[in-house]
Amino acid sequence: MLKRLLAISAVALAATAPAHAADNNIFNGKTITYIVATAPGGGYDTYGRLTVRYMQKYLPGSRFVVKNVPGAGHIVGANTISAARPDGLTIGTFNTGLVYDQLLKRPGVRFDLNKMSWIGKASNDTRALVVSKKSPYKSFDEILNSKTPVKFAASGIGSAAYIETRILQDALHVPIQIVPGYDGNEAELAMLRNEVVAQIGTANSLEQFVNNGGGYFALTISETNDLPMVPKASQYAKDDRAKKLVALVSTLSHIGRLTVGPPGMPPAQLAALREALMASLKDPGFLAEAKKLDLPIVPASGAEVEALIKQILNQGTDTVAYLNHAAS
Amino acid sequence: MHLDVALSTLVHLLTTPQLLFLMTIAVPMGIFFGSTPGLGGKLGLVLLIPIVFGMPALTGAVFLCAMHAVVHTGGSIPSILVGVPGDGPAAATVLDGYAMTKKGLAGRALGASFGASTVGGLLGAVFLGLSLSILEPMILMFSPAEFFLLALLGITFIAMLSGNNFLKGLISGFFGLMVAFIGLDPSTGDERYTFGQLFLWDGVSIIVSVLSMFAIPEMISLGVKGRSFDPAVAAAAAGKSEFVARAAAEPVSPPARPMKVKVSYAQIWEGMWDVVVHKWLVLRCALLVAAIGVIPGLGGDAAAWMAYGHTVQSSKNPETFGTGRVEGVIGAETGSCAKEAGSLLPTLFFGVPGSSGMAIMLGAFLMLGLQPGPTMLTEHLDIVWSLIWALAIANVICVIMLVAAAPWIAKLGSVKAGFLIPYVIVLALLGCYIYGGNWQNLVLIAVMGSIGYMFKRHDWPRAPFVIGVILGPIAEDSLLKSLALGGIGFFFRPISMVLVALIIGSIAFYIYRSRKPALNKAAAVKQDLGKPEVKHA
Amino acid sequence: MLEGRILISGIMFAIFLAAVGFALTYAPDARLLPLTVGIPGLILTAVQLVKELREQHPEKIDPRDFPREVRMLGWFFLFVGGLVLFGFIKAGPVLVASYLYFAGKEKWYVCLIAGAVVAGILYGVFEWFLGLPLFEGLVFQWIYG
Repeated sequence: MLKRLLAISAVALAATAPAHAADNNIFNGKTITYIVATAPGGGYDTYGRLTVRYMQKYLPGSRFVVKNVPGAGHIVGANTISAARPDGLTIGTFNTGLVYDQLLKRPGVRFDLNKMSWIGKASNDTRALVVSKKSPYKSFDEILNSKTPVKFAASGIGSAAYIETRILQDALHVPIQIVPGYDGNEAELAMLRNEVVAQIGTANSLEQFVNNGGGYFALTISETNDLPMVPKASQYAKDDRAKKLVALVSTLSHIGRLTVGPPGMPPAQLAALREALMASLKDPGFLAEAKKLDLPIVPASGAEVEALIKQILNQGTDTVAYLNHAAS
Repeated sequence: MHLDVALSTLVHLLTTPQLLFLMTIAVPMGIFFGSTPGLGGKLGLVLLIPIVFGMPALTGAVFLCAMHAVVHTGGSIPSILVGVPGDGPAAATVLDGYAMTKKGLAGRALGASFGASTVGGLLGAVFLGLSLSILEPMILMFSPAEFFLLALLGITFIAMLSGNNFLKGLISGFFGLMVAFIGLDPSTGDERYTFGQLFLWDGVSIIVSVLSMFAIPEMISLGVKGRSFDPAVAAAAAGKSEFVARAAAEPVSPPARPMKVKVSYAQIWEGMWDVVVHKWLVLRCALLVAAIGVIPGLGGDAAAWMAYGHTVQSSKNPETFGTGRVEGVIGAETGSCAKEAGSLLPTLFFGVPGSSGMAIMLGAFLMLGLQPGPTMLTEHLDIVWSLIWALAIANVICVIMLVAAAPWIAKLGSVKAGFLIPYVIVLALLGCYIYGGNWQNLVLIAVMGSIGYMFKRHDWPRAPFVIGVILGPIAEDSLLKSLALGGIGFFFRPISMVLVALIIGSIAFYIYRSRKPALNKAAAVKQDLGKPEVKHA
Repeated sequence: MLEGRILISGIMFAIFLAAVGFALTYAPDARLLPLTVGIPGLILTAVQLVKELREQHPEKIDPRDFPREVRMLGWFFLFVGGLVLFGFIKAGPVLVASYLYFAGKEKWYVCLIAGAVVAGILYGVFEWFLGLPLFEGLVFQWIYG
């Protein structure tokens, strides 16, 4: 009788064990370095520091240390992550826009996003066009139909925002005069001064500016549902070039605030990290803190991110050619 | 003028023990972060954010502001005592502050520095409070055209800061500008002078420039000569204080023990009294800098150097600056501290940070639940005033603490040269690494430090170089934007014309000044040194 | 022997020459400002160099200084090299202790204490308290990387 009871309990216990039991003790006593590809402060740093606090909780015995490795528009940080030993003790975050740098074969790129070990992502990166309330243009259509070039502020040449502005100009035939060199929030100030009419950026970062009455969302280039009332760029994409480029930007928008490790990470470590990240991103404490910091959280697993990245990077040569044309 | 809100918030701050306590511990933290090269207020803020996280909005914001307000004051300590600047603006303090230490006047330099920082910070806060209502139109009046002209005005100071070595100073300034061009070209995105090195894409950082021009040459020079006192310089100031005369008598044979820097409270008070004596200079610098700080885009480093440049320009004997003029310390320190107050404004009202430190503050404010924007003025006026007062109160706490600790702090100046050198070199290299995050910066500092030493050795002025490095990027960036936005016509706006007039006036003034006979110079120098003897206890 | 003042003028001239040379290979927009500053700079450095070469009454140099300068610069480069190769926490204390012993002629136990203090500060304040990981050095990156 006892033997049978034991047997039944054993089976019952086995049945309740989690299906994908990654060994979260695998980092016990170890220090994991989380590389942030920007200087301290700012969005990536904030997300990163918040994330590691919770990942530490879900990987008992581990200690996380944040290391800032800024330079060359996140390229130095990404190179550093890519070149690190793939033992799971070095991971990090950088701008999703580096996909453009890889597609355009920018000099200095020493990483291959196809091969890196994707751990997950924390948010969306919805790209939107904000137009200044002080400008005479009340809608995207008015800009599209403008007889004179419309001044758009963009960050440095080669940055994601610059490339996307060029995509609008080149593929959607919007009459734009790009004024580059506006870093951080300088573009918003330029709009308040009525120097420029519009800029492309991440919806979440520009939300406050819009709420304060400085501007309005005129267009969203992404198919995410973060801005439901705003017209989508895909409506204006008439030819193959436009459709493919808008699709590229849109797919990229699903990946924001990513966490990734170097290529060749052993499956056990990768699984543990993936699980810890997902658990963190769903943790009620984490979500409460993120809400307080005004950081939207739209998590996705490493596997999903990996699939998306591979899909983006294995674009047809025509898309890459379109992109090259737009970025030149 | 919101007088009721202003007063009630002040009373609240002073009577809430928790807030007072937090401000009191924030101050030493700020001083520590400021006095370690490369750490700077930015990193300090980032590291404090987790601590501040759970606090109510007002408490957290007050704590961070208080810490940030005194960072530059902290930076003045190593600048004056050891010639090692903590950041860009601190290098301006090194020019005359360290020279004063070499003349045996460390205490006076410290006193002047503490006094000027405090008054500068207070004035900046006052300016902030008074201009709350006219703020928005003022910020919006300045466009890239004005930034370019302001940067150009600052560049004309290069001539002013060259002392007697006009040609060398000019070359030094141009060299600084060339170094500023290293990186990605803003108009085409092409690499300039980067030679394939990724870490140079963003240019040479100000910390690397300033440490390689001031800290490293000083340490190498110390290693060669073996002492921080220069007997020749000390002898020239002989008669000022007894121990300087003793130093002059010592033979030049390293490694000699440097004279003990005995700093009495009397010296410190003398320095602080200097601030009162030069009150108009302090007022002018504070206003100039707070105004510049308010306009995002010019940057805090530039503002502080503009104050120093103005100080030099407005004095009777510009060529004596760099040899230990107390006004130099006063101008530089007022500038560094007043700018922080100024840059709080666009941060709060537009969500656009006025300086890099403010960028972090902005993140912190958002985290605390404060939404920067026009609503701050209408719904959160109490928070705005509390922050202004926090800046002011922190400065007062800071000066009290520093003056009390001054004699011990000053001991730093008399640490044996041999001990100081290796520590400072490691610290300087560490600062560069922490700030930039790339080890290649260390190699860069090796190269630039060597050049910096040769500059020092052969009397090439180094201040113009720093001006070039700070203002070069601003000038180029603004010029390109101005031309893109409006073409040449952009420069014919009212404020631009005023600035053009200022630039021409500044150059003309300099030319006129350099025609004055040398006699006047000797007379004025004597006047500066001929102040009543202070009896040392 | 080449005097220092001529050397530095020569170096500055060479720097501006190289800068102008490189600038000429850049795109027109990119080379505009470098040339605007570089060409006048080149002229100025040439003038300065000529001035130094023709100087009749050069400053008096203490002959004892030159070997000391070479030694001190040598230490400086050693510091940089040591930190780059072996990192702050390992090379820092060793370099400080060595300098104090060889150049400062301090007693050995003083050097050891100083080295320990440096190690304590670098590790305790930066890595442990502030949580700022410091550079481990190229050699260790290569071994463990």
